[in-house]
Amino acid sequence: MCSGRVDPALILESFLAGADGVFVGACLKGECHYSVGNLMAEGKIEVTKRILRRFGIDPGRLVMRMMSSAQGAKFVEFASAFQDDVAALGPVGSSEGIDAADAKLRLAAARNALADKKLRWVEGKWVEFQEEGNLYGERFTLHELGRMYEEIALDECAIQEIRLRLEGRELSAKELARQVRIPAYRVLRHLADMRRMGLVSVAAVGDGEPVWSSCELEEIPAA
Amino acid sequence: MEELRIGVFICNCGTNIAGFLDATDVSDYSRGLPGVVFSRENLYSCSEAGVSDIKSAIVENKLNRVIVAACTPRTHEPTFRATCEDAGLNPFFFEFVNIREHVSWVHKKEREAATRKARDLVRMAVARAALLEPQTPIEASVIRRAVVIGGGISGLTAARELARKGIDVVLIERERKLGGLVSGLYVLGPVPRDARAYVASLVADVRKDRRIRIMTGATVERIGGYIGSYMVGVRSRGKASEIDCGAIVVATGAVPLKPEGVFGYDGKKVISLFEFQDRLRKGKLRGRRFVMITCAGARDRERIYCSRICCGSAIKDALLVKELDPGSSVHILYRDLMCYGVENEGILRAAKEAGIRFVSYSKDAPPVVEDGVVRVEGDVMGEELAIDADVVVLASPLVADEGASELSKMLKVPLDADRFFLEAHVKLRPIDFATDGIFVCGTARWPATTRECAEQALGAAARASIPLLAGRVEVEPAVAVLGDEDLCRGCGMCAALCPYGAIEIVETDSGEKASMIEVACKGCGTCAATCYMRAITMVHYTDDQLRSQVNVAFEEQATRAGGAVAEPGAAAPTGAGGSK
Amino acid sequence: MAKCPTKVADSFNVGLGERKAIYLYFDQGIPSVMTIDEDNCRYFATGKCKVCEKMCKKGAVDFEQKDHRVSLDVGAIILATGLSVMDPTPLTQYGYGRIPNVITGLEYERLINATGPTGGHLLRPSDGELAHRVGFVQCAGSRDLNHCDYCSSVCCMYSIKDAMLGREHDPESVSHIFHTDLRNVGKWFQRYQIRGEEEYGIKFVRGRIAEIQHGPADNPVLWYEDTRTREVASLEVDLVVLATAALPSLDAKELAGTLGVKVDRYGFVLTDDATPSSTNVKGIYACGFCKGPCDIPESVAQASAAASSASTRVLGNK
Repeated sequence: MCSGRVDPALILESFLAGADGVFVGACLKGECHYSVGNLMAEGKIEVTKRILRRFGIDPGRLVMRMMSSAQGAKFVEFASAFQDDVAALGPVGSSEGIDAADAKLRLAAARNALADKKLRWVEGKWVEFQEEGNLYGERFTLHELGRMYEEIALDECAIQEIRLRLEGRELSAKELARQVRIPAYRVLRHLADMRRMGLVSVAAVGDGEPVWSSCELEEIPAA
Repeated sequence: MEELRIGVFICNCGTNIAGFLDATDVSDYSRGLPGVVFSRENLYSCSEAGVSDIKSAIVENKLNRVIVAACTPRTHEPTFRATCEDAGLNPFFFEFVNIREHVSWVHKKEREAATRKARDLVRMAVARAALLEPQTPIEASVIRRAVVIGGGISGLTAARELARKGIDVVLIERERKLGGLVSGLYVLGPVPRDARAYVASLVADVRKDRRIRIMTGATVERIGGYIGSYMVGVRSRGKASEIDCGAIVVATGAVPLKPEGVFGYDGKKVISLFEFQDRLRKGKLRGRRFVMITCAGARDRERIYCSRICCGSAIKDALLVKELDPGSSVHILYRDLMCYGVENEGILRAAKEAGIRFVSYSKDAPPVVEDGVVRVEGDVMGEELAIDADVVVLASPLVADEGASELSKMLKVPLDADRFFLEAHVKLRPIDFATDGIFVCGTARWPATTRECAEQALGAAARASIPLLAGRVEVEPAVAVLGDEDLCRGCGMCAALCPYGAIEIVETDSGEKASMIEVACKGCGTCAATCYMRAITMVHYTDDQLRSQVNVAFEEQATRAGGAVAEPGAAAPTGAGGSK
Repeated sequence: MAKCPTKVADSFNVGLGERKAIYLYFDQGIPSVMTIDEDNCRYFATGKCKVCEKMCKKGAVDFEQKDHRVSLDVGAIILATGLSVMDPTPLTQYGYGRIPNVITGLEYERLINATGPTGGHLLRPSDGELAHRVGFVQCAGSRDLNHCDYCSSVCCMYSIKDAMLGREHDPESVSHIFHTDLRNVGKWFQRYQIRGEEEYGIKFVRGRIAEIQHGPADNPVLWYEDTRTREVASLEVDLVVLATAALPSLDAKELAGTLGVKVDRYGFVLTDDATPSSTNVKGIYACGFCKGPCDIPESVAQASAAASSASTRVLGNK
């Protein structure tokens, strides 16, 4: 198995299972035993960190370090430093100033976002766009790719979080905006989209402000 | 499904493991894990006694999953898989836990924490073992033809040896002539041998062997396929052709560094050892006072490595000069004289007896070459010497061939930091690549004497002949498969990413779909981790199996901390864009 | 084994530990079967004892077993008889056998090994104290006109490895390696040497050891001339490790004689550069240290080469 096999969704599964930090070790650049798996992994870790940041989780909780099997001392150095960093951060949520239940919800939303098609598609194109360019032959720098990804991720993450926030609860757009940390008009836009897809519905209209709830889906493949 | 009956064996590895963690505790602990019906310690699980112990435990306790917590799977996974098979259990019901390299050796002073970590790892293995499925190795047939890339002495020797075993060989040489680097040399060492006569006899052998097809002036343009069935695309004198073969031997050699900018190299009065040999051969060597400097462009910041053969070559050439002209003077300036073994040390002794002067210099005070004089702070004698020189000879290292990088990409095999080919294991598998069916020999791997090259070439021929003569290969079934064909959209992302060309997009009744070439797949899993539809399954390393390990990893801590917070949306919903 | 009354010095641990007269060659040996050392067994000496026979529940002890001759018809023979190490006692300047804390590289290997007699702790022979300061003496018997005039090839690297292991087991360990030329010519060996110096604090000193003296508290004192500074100096250490010369295995010459295989004056099997695995006798091949000093990767490559030559012959295509 290669570091390229590390599925971003699996990283989030680890956080959900109780990890306060995740360390991904990979081969040195140019020495990957599977050719370029480590470069793929680098892209995946980068996007995962961005998603963590979006959800207000310290991206420092995830690191990828490259080393060769002959660099025992280096591994110890990396592992010890990471251990210290994570110990200083404490359990997920504590350094971020969010309570444990909220942190769990955010991690679950992040996991869902990373397990879903849209972001995976962009991730998959990460190396290709960098090295070969897109359909039009435009090549992107890491920075440009990051920005592009950020825009797509912004929507995707919000949608996933809204869905979880509405599970078994009825909330107004205003309240959702506060919880999901985005402006109310964007929440409304997402809700409109989501209603069209049959994911949410208006549960009640009280005081002139509608409250929303989630709809049941028939089939839910695990992440 | 039949009842789960997991057996856990904790290896003490003498005191390698048991000396640093409480193996008895880990064994007792594992007995309480779900599905585990048996556990015990072994002094050495891999020893004959340990193996037979495991075998009888499988039979007596009707075990259907076996976990050994011991050392690295690299050496002993095959051992224990075979043990399971001997006991009538599918070998893929075996799970390995490394509590030596990962635990006892790295936590030598934390017995309690090490024991806890070993417990964690065993618990994770138990979780995964429950989800293991039986597998059968993938079989493929092998084309009985080898391609040897490179027609120097390594490639020639390998080709000749393969042909002698009854294997058809295609020998591909970039230059228009066979012979490689050695054909440009004069006398080989350390035991003197005429270089050209040696090459000529090898070439004659290869030419007269009808099993060998020689392609000169030929470059490799494309390589596809996998063990047993490679396709090598070659362009020879303008004409393109494709060769099917079962195995490939890489013998592309190395090139001598032209020491531009080193010790005043000018190609006239300051020349390289190879130019010196050339002058010797042509009888064009002028001058009677020679100074040779070793490590010219080696063992420095740019090229850390020692090129192994330069010291010996320099001494051999110095002796040649002394033989031709006993009155001449030769100084050899060195950092360490790399005269390893019997013969190299022998010629060093002979050189000292012949009056060749050796002066050691240190890296920090390299010699200075001026017009007709070499100044050096003699490290051993301690005074600054000014040595008159008619010709200064630089013993420069062999460096990797520039084409190696391109070829490594086509072969999908790695290079090391010095751009030499990187074998499967530097110590234990020096002439294999990690990729099955591709082998390496000679200076493409690392600088070597002609004897060492010939030896490696014979070795590579032996390694390659194993699948070629068997006609069939078995490949580890831990590969990617299209687990859910309905999900696959045929987008081609996986095929584009696959470093081994093991995925093709094919037209089916239900549209374009990915199709896996199992023998070519190395199981890296990049495709599965990337597939946006999650249609690809990694056999033996499924998402479920990995997740099961992660999920129990923190179980003990959570119990200690008094229960975890429930996760919302435990059954993860699929994306909002499900219907798009 | 536990009940055997006879204790003998354990040759696998180069005499640093003890074993019984009934024993396993070593823990991971194959086959893992007990054997009785006839020379030391009480029954063979006195006709009485057989404690082991009584203890063995499976009745596996058989005192009647005799060596028997086996004849095999074969198409090829591969010599892979390896090496032995020189006994450094004749190198009187190093005081091996006279100064208690002067040991050989092989003895060091056993001490630093977790399954060795000291469980991996570098306890020196004189008092069982942990040795922190270690001096490695290179070319002990090698490159020496009076003993082995060739280079044993593997000692520079194993001494660096041993010094690294010492530091890994004991962070206070300081190793000095006294060498002439440091011959680290294999793949990545220079990087290894640099790592040893930079990450493991190994001190490399260029200079041959002239003499080792018996210092206070059984500490050996190394006398040497540092050829870089040209000063005669001494260094007191807790333990000295001699990188003893490697020789062909003890009965290699005899075996070669039986087979008619030519060897050089040291006893290494002679082969030609162009056919490096073939001996002078058709059908007899050789690989590894029996042909001359070589390290593990070279031995592995040579083993494949010898297998190739032998199989080509046996397959009948040559």
